[in-house]
Amino acid sequence: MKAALRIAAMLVACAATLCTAASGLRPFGPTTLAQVKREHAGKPFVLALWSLHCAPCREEMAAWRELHARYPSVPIVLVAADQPDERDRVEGFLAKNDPGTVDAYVFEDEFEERIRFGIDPRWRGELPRAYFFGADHKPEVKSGLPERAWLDRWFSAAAK
Amino acid sequence: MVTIRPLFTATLALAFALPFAAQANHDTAAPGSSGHGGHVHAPRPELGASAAYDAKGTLWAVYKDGEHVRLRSSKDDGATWSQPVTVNAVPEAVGAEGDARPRVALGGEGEIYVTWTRPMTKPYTGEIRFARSLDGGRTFSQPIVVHSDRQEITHRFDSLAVNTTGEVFVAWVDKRDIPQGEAAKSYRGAAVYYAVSSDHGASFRGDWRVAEHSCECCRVALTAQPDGTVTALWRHVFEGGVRDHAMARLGDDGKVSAFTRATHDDWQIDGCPHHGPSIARDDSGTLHAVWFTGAPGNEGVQYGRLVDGRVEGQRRIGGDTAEHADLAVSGKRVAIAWKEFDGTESHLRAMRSDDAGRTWREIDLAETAGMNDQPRVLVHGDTFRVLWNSREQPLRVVALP
Repeated sequence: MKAALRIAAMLVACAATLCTAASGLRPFGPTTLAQVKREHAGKPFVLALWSLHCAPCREEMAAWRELHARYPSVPIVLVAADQPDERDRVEGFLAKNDPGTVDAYVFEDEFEERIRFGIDPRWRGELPRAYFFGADHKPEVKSGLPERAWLDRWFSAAAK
Repeated sequence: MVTIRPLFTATLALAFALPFAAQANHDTAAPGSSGHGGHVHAPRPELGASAAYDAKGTLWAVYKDGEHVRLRSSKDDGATWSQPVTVNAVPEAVGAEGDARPRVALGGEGEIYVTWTRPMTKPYTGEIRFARSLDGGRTFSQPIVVHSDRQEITHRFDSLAVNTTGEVFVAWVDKRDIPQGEAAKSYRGAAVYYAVSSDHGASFRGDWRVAEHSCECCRVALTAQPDGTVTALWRHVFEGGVRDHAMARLGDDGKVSAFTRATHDDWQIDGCPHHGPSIARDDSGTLHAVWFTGAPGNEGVQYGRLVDGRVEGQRRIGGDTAEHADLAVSGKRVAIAWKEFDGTESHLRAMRSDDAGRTWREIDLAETAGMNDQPRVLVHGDTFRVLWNSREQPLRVVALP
């Protein structure tokens, strides 16, 4: 019911904005990870941080697409560490490089230290950065593009 | 939650299919062009600023203000600032976020040299701009591009230094060596290039390559040597994707010598650290540096002395959130500043050694609850200060005792 209401609300928003993609990207703030964890309580998921300004992140999008197609039961949450004023570009990029039916967020404001701290105080901003949360929500953390063999191992274990 | 995902995808697809000009153009919008082209959000504050003292103790600061680089001066160490002077009369995009920022350096006869990166239309592209003032900062020359290569590719992360004979060195990250097509994917990183002016900034010669395979997204650090060369330190992409640092000496004739691996943390990352080093030379010739590594087991900001390809006295700086350190040297005194975020406030912290880095004391300098730039350590005589530009206190200068 709640979800249905939300869809209805989004459709209204969609009509009001001539249906730009803005309704799909959600703002990510210092407390959003806690909310994402609640949404995926007791289940593994990936929090994947990327940016328009990071070439390897752009390359990584193809890997997420493939992994998502192969392991659709493992949620991938994409978070663009970009500024609110780049939202349209983030949406354009995601539309072109459609990673599939994943949740997508963009940093809610420019004070990135605050948002980074809410995810992981030790993260200094290097990208791409991904947190592979097991069912117990203890993460394995990877900076840079993880090796494909490692990704396959993690996803196949998480999908079981 | 699950139920809205298909809608998200459908919405994106629909939005992309609609002939909204803005939608189609955004992926190639210039990184520095925020505030234009129909963005609904206010332009983001890009706080990247730099400052330097002249011989008489006047402090000169440059910063981004929309599509201009502005200059202000202070005769009381940043307590009060002059009215701003516009460096580029004609508006243009200016890069001033992350490791990018306008730079300022002083010549021996009061010349004021300023560089910045002008982002271009395609992602990651830019050109390195230069302007000078020969009348004590009242007016600036028409900006010029310091490189002769005019492809719309990466020329970014400019760095500026004046050598002992007054020549102006500008180094930057450059992608001209990346092959076209599929081969580009297997090319490691970018390259560092530089140019030199021997006529007080009237013209530059060069487009000399320092090294291939630099990191693409980190600032380059420069420090002048007594023999007229300039030492450059940058994050390199070594074999196996290890992003530690390399250094070399740049001559005013384009001769690059003494390429050395400078740091040895073995941080393997196929990604963008967005975190470049700083370097300074003490009066005995020892090079002091700060840098960042994410190498497992030793993550954090590091200090060390770079001696013959080895690192001496390496130590981790600050706590778990320490980032973006800078340093300056006066005689045997070394001052380092960095910032740490505690969940509520950013703290400006510092470390100082009066014996060339053997012993240190730590000092808490300042804090702010708002957005803030990377700190820059300033030196005049034997006195250190820190420029910490922030939204709450623009061009704030803090003493580093």
